[in-house]
Amino acid sequence: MPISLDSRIPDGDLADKWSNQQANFKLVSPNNKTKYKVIVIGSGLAGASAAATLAEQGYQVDCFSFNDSPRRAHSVAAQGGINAAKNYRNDGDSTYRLFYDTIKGGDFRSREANVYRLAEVSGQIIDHCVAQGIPFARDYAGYLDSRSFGGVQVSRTFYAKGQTGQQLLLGAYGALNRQIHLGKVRMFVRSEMLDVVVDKGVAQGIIVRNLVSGEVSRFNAHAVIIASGGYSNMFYLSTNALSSNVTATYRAYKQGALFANPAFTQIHPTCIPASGEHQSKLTLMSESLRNDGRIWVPAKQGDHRLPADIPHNERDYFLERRYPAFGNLVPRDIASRAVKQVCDKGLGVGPTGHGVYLDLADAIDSSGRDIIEERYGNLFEMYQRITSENPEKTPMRIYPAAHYTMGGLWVDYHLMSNIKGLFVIGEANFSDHGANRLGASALMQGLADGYFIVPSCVSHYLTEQKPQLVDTTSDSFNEIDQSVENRVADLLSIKGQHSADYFHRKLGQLMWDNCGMARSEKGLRKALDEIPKLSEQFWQQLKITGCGKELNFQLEKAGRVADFLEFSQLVCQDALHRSESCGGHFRQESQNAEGEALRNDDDFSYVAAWQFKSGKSNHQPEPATLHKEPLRHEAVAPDQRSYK
Amino acid sequence: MANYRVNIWRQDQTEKQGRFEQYRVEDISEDMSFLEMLDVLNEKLISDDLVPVAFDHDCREGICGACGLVINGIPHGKECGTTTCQLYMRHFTADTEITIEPFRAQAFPLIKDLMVDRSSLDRVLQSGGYVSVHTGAAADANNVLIAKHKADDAFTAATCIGCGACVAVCRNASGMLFVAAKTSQLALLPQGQPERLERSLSMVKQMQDEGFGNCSNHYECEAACPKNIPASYIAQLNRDFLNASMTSKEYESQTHCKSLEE
Amino acid sequence: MQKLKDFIVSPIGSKVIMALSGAMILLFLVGHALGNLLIFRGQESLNSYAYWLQNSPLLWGFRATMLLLLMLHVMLAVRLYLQNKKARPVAYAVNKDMQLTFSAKTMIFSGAIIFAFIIFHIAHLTLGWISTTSLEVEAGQQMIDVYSNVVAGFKLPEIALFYVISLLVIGLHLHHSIKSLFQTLGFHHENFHQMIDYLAPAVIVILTLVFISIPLAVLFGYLPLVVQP
Repeated sequence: MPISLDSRIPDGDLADKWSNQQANFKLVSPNNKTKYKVIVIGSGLAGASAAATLAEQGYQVDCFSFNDSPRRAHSVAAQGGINAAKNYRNDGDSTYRLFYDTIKGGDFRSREANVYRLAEVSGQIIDHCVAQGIPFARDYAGYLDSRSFGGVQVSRTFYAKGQTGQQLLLGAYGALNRQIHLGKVRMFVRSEMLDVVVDKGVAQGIIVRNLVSGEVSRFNAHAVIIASGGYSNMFYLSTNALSSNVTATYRAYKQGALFANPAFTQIHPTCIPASGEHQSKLTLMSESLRNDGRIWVPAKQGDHRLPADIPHNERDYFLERRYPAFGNLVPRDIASRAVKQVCDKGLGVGPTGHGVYLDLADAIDSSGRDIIEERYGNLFEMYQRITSENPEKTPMRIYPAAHYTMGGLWVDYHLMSNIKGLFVIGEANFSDHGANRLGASALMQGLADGYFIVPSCVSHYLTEQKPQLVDTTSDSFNEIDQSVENRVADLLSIKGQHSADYFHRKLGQLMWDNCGMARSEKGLRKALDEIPKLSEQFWQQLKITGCGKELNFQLEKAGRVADFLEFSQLVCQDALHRSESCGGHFRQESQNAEGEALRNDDDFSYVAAWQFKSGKSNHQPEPATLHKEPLRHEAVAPDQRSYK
Repeated sequence: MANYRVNIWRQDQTEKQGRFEQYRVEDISEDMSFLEMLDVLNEKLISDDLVPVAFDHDCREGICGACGLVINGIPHGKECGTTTCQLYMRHFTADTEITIEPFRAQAFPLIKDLMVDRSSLDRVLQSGGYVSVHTGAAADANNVLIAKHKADDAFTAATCIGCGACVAVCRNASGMLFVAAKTSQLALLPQGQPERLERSLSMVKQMQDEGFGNCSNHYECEAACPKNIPASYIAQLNRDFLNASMTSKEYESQTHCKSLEE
Repeated sequence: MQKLKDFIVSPIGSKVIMALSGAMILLFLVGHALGNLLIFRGQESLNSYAYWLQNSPLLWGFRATMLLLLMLHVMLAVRLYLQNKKARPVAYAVNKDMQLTFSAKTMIFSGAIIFAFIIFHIAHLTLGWISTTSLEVEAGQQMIDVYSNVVAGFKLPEIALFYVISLLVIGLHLHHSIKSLFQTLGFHHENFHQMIDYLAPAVIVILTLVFISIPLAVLFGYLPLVVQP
């Protein structure tokens, strides 16, 4: 298959592109819609909203989740809020400003047309969510309240205390429930997609394992939508849920879909530091805390006094010092890096030295305890539960942790990958956040894709498809089903001595050390050298007890770790090739005298879309082939991103 | 570092007989979460060629609602307002015995070990736990104003994570707090009004059909709820249900049509 | 009709009927207790009150209503109890209560004791199966001497004790009932539920004391058995 990287961006001015596109979309007539079937993988914000909206329009939808209920999807954990260019505050916000902030926040590595469209539909999302009965925060007059987030100087983030993701997900889950009740959506829970069936460059269906019975079955459809989220769990410790994984997108990649910018991963600055070896995940403290919290470390190394005993003039408020214009509200990548730098200098606090203070004492003094509790009460409780320290008495300790992945499957303006009929939405695609995502934009993107963008794109695609489905007993299904069954059998037959978790931890450490917040050619080459060895060990020493025809979470985990082992090499390859620093991707070789990231627009202003190349062994691919989609900056000229 | 003896319910499949088994876990740090303690146990079981203990869990930050174990007789353990994944070992005295059981209810069939099937809760919500708004139909978000205290009250109800602890703790395995949290959230907001009464009828009916028990106003549910959702929402549901039963027109209109046909 | 049936068998409908029937029985109890107090004014007062009641044209209507309410209350209670048992087929090995009260936990048992007590009580004092003294009211018309019956009965310590215990069980049953009543009927608001929390126990204590005072008074000789001249 020749690779075409046609991004199908419509003509016209930036502001008209989406309306032009909508005017040109072809439509399926209402009574023909029932003849088309769409598969949605994932039931988070993007997946649930897409499944519900497509079903509302009349299509038959099959939706899959590996959890026991759609409501468990990890979108539920998003805390801070959702952006929308409503300008309810009259503080100078507009569609263009949201677009501009997102492009700049993404360090000029995203597609302008996609980002503008995102900003355009952002307001509609809030309208729809309010209509669904989502209890957003209100002011005393009954109007919607909003707050500020990192990298932004207007107040455009709508929120429901620190549980915005949960509320939005429950809204989408409600919409999905309604369609399940009406019989328009068939929901398959505890079902994991293990491969996508592609024949002659067209997606025809998927192969799914029922996690309770262990049964592997085939599903066909006219279009497949992947909404399986991100891959931060390749670092082992991340803010993601424990079962979040790369399998769905990686399998699609192995079937020919291009993977774009895999090295663009986001490290979130404000997480609770790890307390020991046993740690299974890291917990995020919402970025909204930086609205009122001040980040500092002791100015002198080895200052072991209690934080309250250190006078103001002996503290280093390093974000405020280095970035006076944005202060504690600099974007996530910049804040994370600054935290890492002070800790590397030995100024870090806490038992491990991997931590800085996030202090709300000044805010409590100026705004009052009640106001601060009202804003962050549930976060304080959460922090206290985990650390047994009260953040109203002693400052919180925070440290960066892997959080979000901007990279994902390559999609065009229609959110379709280079495989026809394979759409990718939400965190699983690469499209809108460039090299760094701004806070409260993930919820916006997931819902924009699911409610408003992908349904019309899928409809348009279906107008060109015949209603006949490819039979699930066809050669293409047989072949891929067989390979899935073989792989399960292979994993079970190793009978070595280490659990899947053992390998996952090792991989995570390798990736965090060499491909985490700061990357160097030397480190990346080391990782690219070590990971294949680890992978080889995995396929010789993995141990799974129990069998495959029953509920076996070790087997699920092993399959996911196996994919992470291959995929992380692609991440390192991408990180190595991109020898500039941009957004979350910081190459030590590319920084200025002050230690700020140095972008190289002349050589790297493109989307790196990688094509799978199989190797001699099933488990060890050859280095991937690079395809470049040049980025054209017509509306915003890239400049050095400055928050000083 | 502490050691514990844990009694865990082991059961291979729904149909098979289950039993308690006792294991020893060693070198548990007080900063470990309860589930991390189980991870340590599972790693040990795997290295001994045994099948590890199956339990549901996912986000491990207390919001997804997947985890839920009955720990020493209380769902999610005795710490107030805490999910199992956010329960820390510092709350357990060293060298004691910890008994871990699955959620027990007719409406939650056991799948394996400590894992139960809570899809009955999903079906209750499918029967009406939403506002039937079509994507794209909404007017501007600020068109309808909502008093702050109402929005806050609705939010408190909406924080339900669907873990099922209210059912697990209830002597009657009743799902009333779960149902009431959803009906109250929507009953408190203007958007939920048009379907308010029918919603309470259909959701209560579905709850009944799923085999949940009835509410005896014991209020153990609010004590066990990891999100501290108060039982006063159940009164709200009772009120709506009573109102709906007295005023809803559904049956009358059907019989009316029939009589016309005749 | 279908709708009414659906309502009665629904989880909330059953409870509402339980609550309403219970509430009416409670109102009856209040009246009953006030009437009982007449015993302290002497034989004459109580007996003439009893005579008035027994000759009331509403007597049988009232009795039938109370019986119906009681049967409804008991039948629904048994039905709910069996449903609730079925909803938890496998019991926990370790049980721990958090805010569950003893009264709430034992409703079905206190209810069963009360039911047995009511049968005994009707047989004893309404039907007079156990000991009967009758007196002539007017020429040729006899009526049970309620006062003497009560006093004669409670002179026996085992009967007095049985009454005292049963009446305490009624108090226990009411402890959960009164608070539960408001919740089931949908009244649970921070503005007044604290008031109910204080008022309910007060009502129960007064009611129980009033009832218990009679067997105790007889037993300790405050109410003498007077032979009718």
